[in-house]
Amino acid sequence: MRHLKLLSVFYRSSIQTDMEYRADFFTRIIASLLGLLMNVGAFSIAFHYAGKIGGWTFPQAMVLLSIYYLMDGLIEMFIAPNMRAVMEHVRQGTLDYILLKPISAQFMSSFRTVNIWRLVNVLVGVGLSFYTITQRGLVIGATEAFMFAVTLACGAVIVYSFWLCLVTLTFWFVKLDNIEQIVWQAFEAGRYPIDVYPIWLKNTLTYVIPVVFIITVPAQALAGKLSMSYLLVSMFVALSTLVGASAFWRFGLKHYTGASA
Amino acid sequence: MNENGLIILDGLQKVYRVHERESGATASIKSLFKRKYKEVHAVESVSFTVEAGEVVGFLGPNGAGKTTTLKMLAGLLHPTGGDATVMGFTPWKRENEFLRNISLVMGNRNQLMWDIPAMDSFVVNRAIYQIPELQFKETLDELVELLDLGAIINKPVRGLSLGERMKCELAAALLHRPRVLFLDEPTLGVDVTMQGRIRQFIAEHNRKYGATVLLTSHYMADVTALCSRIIVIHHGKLLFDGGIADLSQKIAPFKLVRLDLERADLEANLEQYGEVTSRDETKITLRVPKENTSAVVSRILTELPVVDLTVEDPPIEEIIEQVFRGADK
Repeated sequence: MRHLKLLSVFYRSSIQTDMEYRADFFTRIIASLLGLLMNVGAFSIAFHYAGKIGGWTFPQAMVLLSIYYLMDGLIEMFIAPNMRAVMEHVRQGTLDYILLKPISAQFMSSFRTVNIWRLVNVLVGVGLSFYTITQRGLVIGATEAFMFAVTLACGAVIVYSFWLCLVTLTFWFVKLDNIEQIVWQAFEAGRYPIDVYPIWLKNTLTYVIPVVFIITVPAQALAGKLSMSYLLVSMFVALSTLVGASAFWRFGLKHYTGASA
Repeated sequence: MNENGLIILDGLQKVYRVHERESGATASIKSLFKRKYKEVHAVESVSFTVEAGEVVGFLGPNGAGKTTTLKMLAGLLHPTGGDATVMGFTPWKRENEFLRNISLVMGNRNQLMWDIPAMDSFVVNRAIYQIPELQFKETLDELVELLDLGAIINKPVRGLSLGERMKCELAAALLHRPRVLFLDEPTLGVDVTMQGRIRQFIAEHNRKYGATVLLTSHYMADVTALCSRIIVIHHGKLLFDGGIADLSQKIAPFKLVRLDLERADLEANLEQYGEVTSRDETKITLRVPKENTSAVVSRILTELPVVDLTVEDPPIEEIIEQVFRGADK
């Protein structure tokens, strides 16, 4: 309850900051639409020559793309700005002000800001999946909607945990600008149907960096192709990465307060 | 050791491991893979006790270990050795109850959000510290009045001057009425008038709420105006702990004799009266041991063509300077 109240205070102040930069809103819209055009174009060309890629049809692949947009928007809106801020705080020494506050440092670091303009990407994702689904005349039942929501949340948790682990490394190395690249490269891999990759890469993306749970699994849930057991696996993976990342964060913080100048 | 102190340090120690970097390309490539470390003793076995309501000045040159000590007391750093308690808490456990009752202001780092007015940062702090609405309003009104913030809290912070920003930083740090206030260079880079304002405000806050203040500053005026007691550290070691008057008694048992002579072309050897610290034409300053002062002054008056003569205590800067020089030897 207290944390919900804090969250609303945090987000309100952060939205106010975003309002100071209105131009960002318009460039975001343009960038999103351009990106969408390119991706849809690339997909339709590929599918023009091959009716199915890795067992996925064009409309199914479009669902995948829409989830990619949706997830990308959610990450850029809620996760990325905070993770970037933590890295900046470590470099500037202002992480101290977070550690001085009588609330969980992980909570404050993870939820301090929201990038409201990235809502554009979220809406593009929602719009695209809505469009693809109605085009195919599909009806999303309550079960699919529920499973989709849960797997999507699990995907976001996995991205957050992965990123938090990488951010924690800055407690030792201070400057790690390329970290964000690692996150995005892994994430990009999830844009295409996982079955198109060779088996070794597919296994890496499933078990080492669980990218499948970020985009493919929610897309399968939306298409009604996901079994209940996979839903449970997804929840289990999300929970364990979260627990692991939080433990690593606490360990890193101990090192930070033990060694920083 | 006094067991009743609000802040108790007992042999507090901090050793950093920093990697040594040699110059040159080969060396820097080598250091990517293998690093040499050396130990830096930032704070070495520092002990002192501060009573509730005291305002203590913490002095020392750059790198003396002041900030490291403050950070340990605020719970931001784990010490390498020794122990400390603040209000009965172990700071580096960072318990919420402890954090709710302290504040650390660092003159060179901001906690306020850059792009929006300070007022919005205050509202965030109210939520974080769970300050009741009424108390928040009361404290804020008071801070606005004392620090003259009326015209500035609703402007984006990025548009404020350094001094205005510092005043807002102070306000943000005091909204939750901390019992212990750590101030690290609170007047850094701020102009003289504003320094005075900030000083006055800190004194006022201490008087009103009985908050205990531990303050570091480069500006001696901050310390002489605010602190009845000073603690001097150098190279991580405690050099002096006591009243400002005691410091000059103990460390600088001399007076400054300032002379204005009739003529500049004097043949007499001035060194026979005392150490000449400055000489500009007819104006001369001598450093004379305290116990000899009256004898030396009467000799000067009979032997030299004096126009004017004054005897004064050396300024605190000079005393501190001497402490550090003595410690370096």
